[in-house]
Amino acid sequence: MQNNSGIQEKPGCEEPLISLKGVRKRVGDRFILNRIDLAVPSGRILGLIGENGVGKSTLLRLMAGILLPDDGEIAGTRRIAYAPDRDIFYNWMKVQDALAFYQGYYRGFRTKKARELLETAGISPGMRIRTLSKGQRERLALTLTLSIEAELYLLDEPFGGADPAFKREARIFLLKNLPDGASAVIATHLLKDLEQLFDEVIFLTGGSELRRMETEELRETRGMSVEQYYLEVIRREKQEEKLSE
Amino acid sequence: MEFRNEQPIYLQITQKIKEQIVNGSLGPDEKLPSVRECTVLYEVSALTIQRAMQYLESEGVISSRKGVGNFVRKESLELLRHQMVRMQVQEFVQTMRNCGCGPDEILALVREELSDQSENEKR
Repeated sequence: MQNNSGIQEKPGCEEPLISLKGVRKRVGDRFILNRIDLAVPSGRILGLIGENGVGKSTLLRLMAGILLPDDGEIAGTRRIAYAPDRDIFYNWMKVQDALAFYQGYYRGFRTKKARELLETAGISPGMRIRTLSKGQRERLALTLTLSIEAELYLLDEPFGGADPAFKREARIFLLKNLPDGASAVIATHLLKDLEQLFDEVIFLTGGSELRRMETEELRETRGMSVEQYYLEVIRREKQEEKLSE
Repeated sequence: MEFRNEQPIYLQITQKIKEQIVNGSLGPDEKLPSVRECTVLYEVSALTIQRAMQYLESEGVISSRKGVGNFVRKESLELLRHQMVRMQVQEFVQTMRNCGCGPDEILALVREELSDQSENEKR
C-alpha cells in the first residue's frame, strides 16, 4: 500500500476497515472531492485536516454511507458510528429521549454504558436538551456515538465549540471508550489540541488532493509538529496559487 | 499529559518511564500499566503506547510477558545508569571537540582533573 506522501505503510497491515477508490463527489457545479483513494486500517486514530469548506464533512458522509459517490467505489465495514458536526438534538427533547432514539436505531447500542458515562459528566436522563451547555451537548453527542458498537467511528469536529478543559477531558474520554481494534477518523481544523491523539493525518487541501502521513514519522524525520507542517503546506499552496494566477 | 509535538511522542513516553525507573517510582519486576491504562494516562493512541513499549523492550528496559503485561526488568536500573553515564561522556567529548581539543589532549585533561580531585580528597 502506498500513500500520497510517498511513505510506505508498515507491512503486514491487515485488510482495511474501509476503502475508497477513485471517489468523486460533485457539490453544486464542481467536484468537491475528485478521485479520492483512501484506506483506513483497524486500530488507528486518523485526523482529517483541512480548512473549512474543503470537503472534510462530505468525505465523512460518504464513508458513513449517508451520501453516495458520483463515481468510484467505497467498500468495507458497515459497522459505523457517525457524529455530524452540527447539533443533532431537538431542544424540546430530554436526554432520555435521545438515549431511546439511539437505542432503537442502533443494534447493540450500549445503553448502560452511555447512562454511566453521562452520569459522570453530570448529565442526567431527565434533563432537557435546551438546558444543556454547548460543552454538555458535545459531550452528549460524543457519548452516544461512542456507545454505538462499531468498528469505525467518524467524528466531525467533535470538540469544536468546547473550552480547552473540555477538549482535554474529551481526548481522554475518547481514548478510554474507543473499542479495541476500532478506528476513528476525526475531522478537524484545530490541530493543536488533538495532534497527539493521531496516528496518521490526512490533509485535505484545495484541488481535493490527499496528503497522508504518519505523525510520529513526520516528527522523527522532519523534527516538526503536525501543526507546523500543515501550516507550511497551506503556505506553499497559497504561493503556488499566486504563481499560477 | 502534554508533549512536545515536534518530537516523536513515543520517545518522550519512553523517557518518562525510564525516569520513573531511575527515581524508583517503578521498581524492578514491577508491572507497568496496561496499554489501555497508558493511553488514558498519557493521552495518546494505543499504537503510540505499543511503539513506546516495543522500544523499551528492544532496549532491554522492560520485558513483555504474553497475555500478562509488561514488566520492569531487574537489570534495567544498571542499564539505565550505564546509558546515562554514556550520554554524559558523549556530551562532554563533543563539547571538548567543539573547543578544538584532540583525543590526546582530552585524555590528558581528564587524567589531570582526576589526579587533582584525588589530591584534594587526600588533604
